[in-house]
Amino acid sequence: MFGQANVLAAGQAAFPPTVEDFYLPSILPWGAHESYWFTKITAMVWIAVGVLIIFFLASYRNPQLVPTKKQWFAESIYGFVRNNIAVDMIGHAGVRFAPYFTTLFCFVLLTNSFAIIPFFQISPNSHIAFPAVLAIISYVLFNYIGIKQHGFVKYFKNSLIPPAPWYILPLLIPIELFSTFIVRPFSLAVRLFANMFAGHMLLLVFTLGGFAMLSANAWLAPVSVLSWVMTIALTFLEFLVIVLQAYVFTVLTASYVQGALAEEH
Amino acid sequence: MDASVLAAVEGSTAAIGYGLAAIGPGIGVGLVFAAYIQSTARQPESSRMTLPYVWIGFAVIEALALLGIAFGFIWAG
Amino acid sequence: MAGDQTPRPAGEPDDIPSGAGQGWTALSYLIGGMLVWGFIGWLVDQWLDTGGVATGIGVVLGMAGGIILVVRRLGTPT
Repeated sequence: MFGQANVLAAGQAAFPPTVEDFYLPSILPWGAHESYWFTKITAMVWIAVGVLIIFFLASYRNPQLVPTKKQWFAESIYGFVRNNIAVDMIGHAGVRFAPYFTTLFCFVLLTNSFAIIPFFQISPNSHIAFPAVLAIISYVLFNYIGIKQHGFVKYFKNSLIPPAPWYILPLLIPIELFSTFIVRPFSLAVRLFANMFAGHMLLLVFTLGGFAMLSANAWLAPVSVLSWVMTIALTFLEFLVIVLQAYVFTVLTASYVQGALAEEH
Repeated sequence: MDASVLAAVEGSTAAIGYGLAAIGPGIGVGLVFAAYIQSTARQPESSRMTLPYVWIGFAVIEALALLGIAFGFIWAG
Repeated sequence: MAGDQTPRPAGEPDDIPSGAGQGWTALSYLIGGMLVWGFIGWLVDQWLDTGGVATGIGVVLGMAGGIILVVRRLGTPT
């Protein structure tokens, strides 16, 4: 439970790290066991929400024709998502989804980057609950858009009935149902969760492994330096994964919306 | 193990079977994409024309590898 | 940038489709077909107690369906 605290306090590592290390101590009843109502994870999610709202409000409070630095930054994020994700994937109709994609991209990017920001050092997305809720929002969005665009019957007819002779349709419709309506939200959530979980686990293994070797015996102690150098290298890799996963999540949501809007695919 | 047995395989033979079964599809998928890359390098404008056949070939070959996994699980003895 | 309401024209329809996206689509149809019909076959197996034969038939059927879907969705020249 207090894996990381143990390492720093007692100088001995609880190696190897377990899933328990992802359940951080409770904050609101301070240090309470088995209480997950307000933990560091919860606090980080609220911080992410607050930072995003304040940043975008502040940068667009007094828009200038010649943008200030803050305004330029906010506008280039929005411009990137709108032009390179929404318009590229969906086309002209994608502009109206750009605000949602931008929010999604920024939120996933920020909560992911908590994995390597000092003193946060764990991403809320390494708990399946947060990616799952984000995936459900995207799932509801693209289904709603599709139903609104085509009508209920035509939307499901479009997405469930492939162009094939009638006698193989009974074989194909369950596959389409499975791959369109069940695998999609699941793979969205699991992809983000698994990447952040594995990233945090990897960093834990090398950090705690360093401590474990340090306290093992005199011969292994120098090797722990190598382990910590690996941790630094993996932190840079983690940064790459963080940005890539935020981008992938947004792009996939955009491609699902595009699929729902398309006449027939 | 009695004395007449000279060598025995312990563990899952299904895993060995799948390893053997994956050789063929591995070579096959490699050939499909090698041919596609080569044809696109020779004639870049043909890439859109040949891509559908790449996916047909890929699907048919990859099906064998996936069937290998499935049968390994179903009749793992 | 955020203010102007004249987005650039929609992506040209004849740019090269992303290969990775199609590859994942193909693979997910194959695996999806196998899983769905394999599961249905497994249910039949539990019901009729056929000892894995129905599951095998289901997997082969699902694989055939997956191939048909890949051919129909990706294998028709545009």
